[in-house]
Amino acid sequence: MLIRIVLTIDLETLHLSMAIFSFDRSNLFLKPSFTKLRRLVFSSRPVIRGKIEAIQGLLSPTHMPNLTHLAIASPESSSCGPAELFGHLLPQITTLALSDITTDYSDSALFRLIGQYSNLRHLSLAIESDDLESLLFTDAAGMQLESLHMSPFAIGDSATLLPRLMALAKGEPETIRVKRVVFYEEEESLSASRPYMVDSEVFEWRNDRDVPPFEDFDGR
Amino acid sequence: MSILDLPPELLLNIFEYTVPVSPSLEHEDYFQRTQVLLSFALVHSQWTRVAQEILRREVWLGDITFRDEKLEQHGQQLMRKVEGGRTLYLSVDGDIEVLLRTTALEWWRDLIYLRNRPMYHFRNSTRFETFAQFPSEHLFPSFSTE
Repeated sequence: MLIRIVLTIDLETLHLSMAIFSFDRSNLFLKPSFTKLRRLVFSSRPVIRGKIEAIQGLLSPTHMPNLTHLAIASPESSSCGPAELFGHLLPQITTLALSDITTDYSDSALFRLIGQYSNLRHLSLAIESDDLESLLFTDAAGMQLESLHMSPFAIGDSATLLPRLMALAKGEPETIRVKRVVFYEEEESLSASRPYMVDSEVFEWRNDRDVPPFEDFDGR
Repeated sequence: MSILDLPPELLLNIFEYTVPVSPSLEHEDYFQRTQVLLSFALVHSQWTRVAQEILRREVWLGDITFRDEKLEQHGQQLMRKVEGGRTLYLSVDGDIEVLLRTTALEWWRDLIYLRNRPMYHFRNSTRFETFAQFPSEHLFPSFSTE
């Protein structure tokens, strides 16, 4: 009897950056293509071109059934935002990292989607936004996370964001639930900001990197 | 027993702990990893094979912009980087479609990590479906049983 043993080795991580990536309708007819892909990273502001049906067709559970880690850095698309580009994948994502090089990131639609999906466990925000409190506590209301990772600088001038994050870290009722709030700061600047934070010990502090994790984010 | 008499398996573990974890997030880490392993390879002939095995697990290719007339030459250079080893982690700074035209897909059959930075000025765009070519089937030789 003739036996052929076939062992499938597939990509587990695909990291794309600094480029224009095009999707066309022929993608829709590809056989499931990234079946073992667990992590997809779009960094350095990639430009995504194509009809939204073609993009959503490939960035979907059909082609990426095992994808659980997603990291996106302000993708540019002429026709739609991150919520439309990645919306079909979000229900299966457990760790999501968002990064942006613009100074005022705001994407209510994406955060509203995040609030709807119960599988998300870890969120890393390397963004600066005047609307961060609204994005987290209003748009993403209902979100239940194991951990939220961010920079203390993201708090900005808000007088109410910090108390609400403290309430989260203490397990007090809020519109979202987060077990751990993790702040990232350079070691030399820790002594500059922490003394001014009342109850700063309710947060977890890391100084092994300057900014919240992105391409290798796994929630730890 | 001297350090030169260590079995290859143990040597492999020691070397792995010595170099930065793959995949390298920065090219500097990759460069450091490569330098350390190349140094090991020169210490003793018994170390060469082990060091090369780890070396080939991660490959970072830069500036994949070459013209068609140089494809063959570059292909040979790339071949020397990866031949005889299993490449698990590949970073390509440049045109992934040129890489695929230059090299045999077979070389990348063990790939589990692929990073591509085409750079905006290299091409108008990279087709996303190009990356679908990388997942591959590892075929073992057929054999017969009774």
